[in-house]
Amino acid sequence: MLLALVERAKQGDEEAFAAVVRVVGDRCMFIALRILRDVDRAEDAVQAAFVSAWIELPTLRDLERFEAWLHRILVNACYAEARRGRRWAANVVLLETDTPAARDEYLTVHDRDQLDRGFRRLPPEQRAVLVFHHALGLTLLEVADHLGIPVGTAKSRLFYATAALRAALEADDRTPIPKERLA
Amino acid sequence: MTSRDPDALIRTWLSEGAEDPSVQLPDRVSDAIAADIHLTRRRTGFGPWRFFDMSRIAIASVAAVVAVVVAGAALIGLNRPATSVGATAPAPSLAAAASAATMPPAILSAPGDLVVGSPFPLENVIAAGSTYHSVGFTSPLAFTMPAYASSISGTFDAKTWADRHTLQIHWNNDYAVTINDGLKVSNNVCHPTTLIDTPATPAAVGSWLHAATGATVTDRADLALAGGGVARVFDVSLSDACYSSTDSPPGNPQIWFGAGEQHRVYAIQRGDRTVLVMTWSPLQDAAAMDTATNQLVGSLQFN
Repeated sequence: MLLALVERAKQGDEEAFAAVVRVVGDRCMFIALRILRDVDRAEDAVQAAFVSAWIELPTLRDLERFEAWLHRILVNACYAEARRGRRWAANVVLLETDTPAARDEYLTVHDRDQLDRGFRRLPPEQRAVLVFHHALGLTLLEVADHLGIPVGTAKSRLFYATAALRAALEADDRTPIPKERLA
Repeated sequence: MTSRDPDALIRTWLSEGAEDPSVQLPDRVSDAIAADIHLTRRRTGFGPWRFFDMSRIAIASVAAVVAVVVAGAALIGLNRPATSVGATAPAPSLAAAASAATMPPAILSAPGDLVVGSPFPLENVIAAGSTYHSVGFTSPLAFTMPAYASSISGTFDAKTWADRHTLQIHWNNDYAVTINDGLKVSNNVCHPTTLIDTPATPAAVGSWLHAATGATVTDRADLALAGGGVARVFDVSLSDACYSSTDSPPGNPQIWFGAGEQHRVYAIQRGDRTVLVMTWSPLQDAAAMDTATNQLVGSLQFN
């Protein structure tokens, strides 16, 4: 169904594109919210990404790759949004507040606070790799494809980002000795 | 320190909300997208942008976008690192500055300032072409950030890890040089099975590296150090058969190599032990980075 909608949207059918937004919009919102950690900024990034996608869609040759292509546009919109100065610390919405209770036995409020702090310190490029790898369950090869970066870069960013989050978790007892891969 | 698996906690935390129906794109955003695309001319598969018959609203939108792009480019220009020797250290990135409300700020190190051992998550922003002294690293030293680094976008930082046994000099998101003093390392850089002490001499480092089947090790010319002495230099290329997991090898070493990677390793004699300097460079121009890294290592002066 998505493929047919994308094909029609490519031909200029605005209603079909609106349907595409309804099909994949929630997923895009999740990705943007995970990367940006801010509802307003995530909404802005998703909106910008879909408008860019509408403009560029006629140039997309392989419709089967629509979602990966869209994700790449979305992530770039998130990067742009993350580097804008406004609203950085305001209107923070934590997904954890909606977390099913079953998860609480694994993650304490303090864990989440530490992870959130660590995550916010990461460059958006590293955040994106973490989200695509851990939250979406993509392999590093797929992450590289979705983000348009070499696999080695994806791997490098994952190492640095994971090390920083480990250190954030371990910072609670003021022993900042991350189990990081340093070289 | 938590006794739970930190990687599992990170995965759990990041995946939360993936199936949460409350994470939805609001209707007003969908409506705004529909309104936007209705006013937006599309790129054709072959031709250029077309402006001649755009509506006034669309023209205004384009003008606004252009203004934002120009302003953004100007801001990016302002945040590039200084290029000359002794120049003022660069300002933190916009993101770093903007996040200061919730995060401890990075330490902006002026040339000559001490680069102290940074308690996480503090970082020391450093500038290309400037010299810094470290008192936080277990083996106090001075180094000069090569001027070449100014050609790389982004900021650079230095911080200590591994209980201050490692000083990491981070060039941007993807390139780093680590200086390691007194760390445990894997017994075999290609097929790690346990940890050993860092070999005590540069010659022993060479033997350790060459002993790893699956790793191609090339000896380079020794590098003279500004503070006296030399560094033995090795280029290490790991075959695809080498360790490839993203999890730590046995023993949880702070340093390990992975399949398909290339690293430059410098071994510097310091008393009865060896300081290892290692590179991580998946993206950049390898030849240029090797030259720049040689300049950085060559600038080392141990106190």
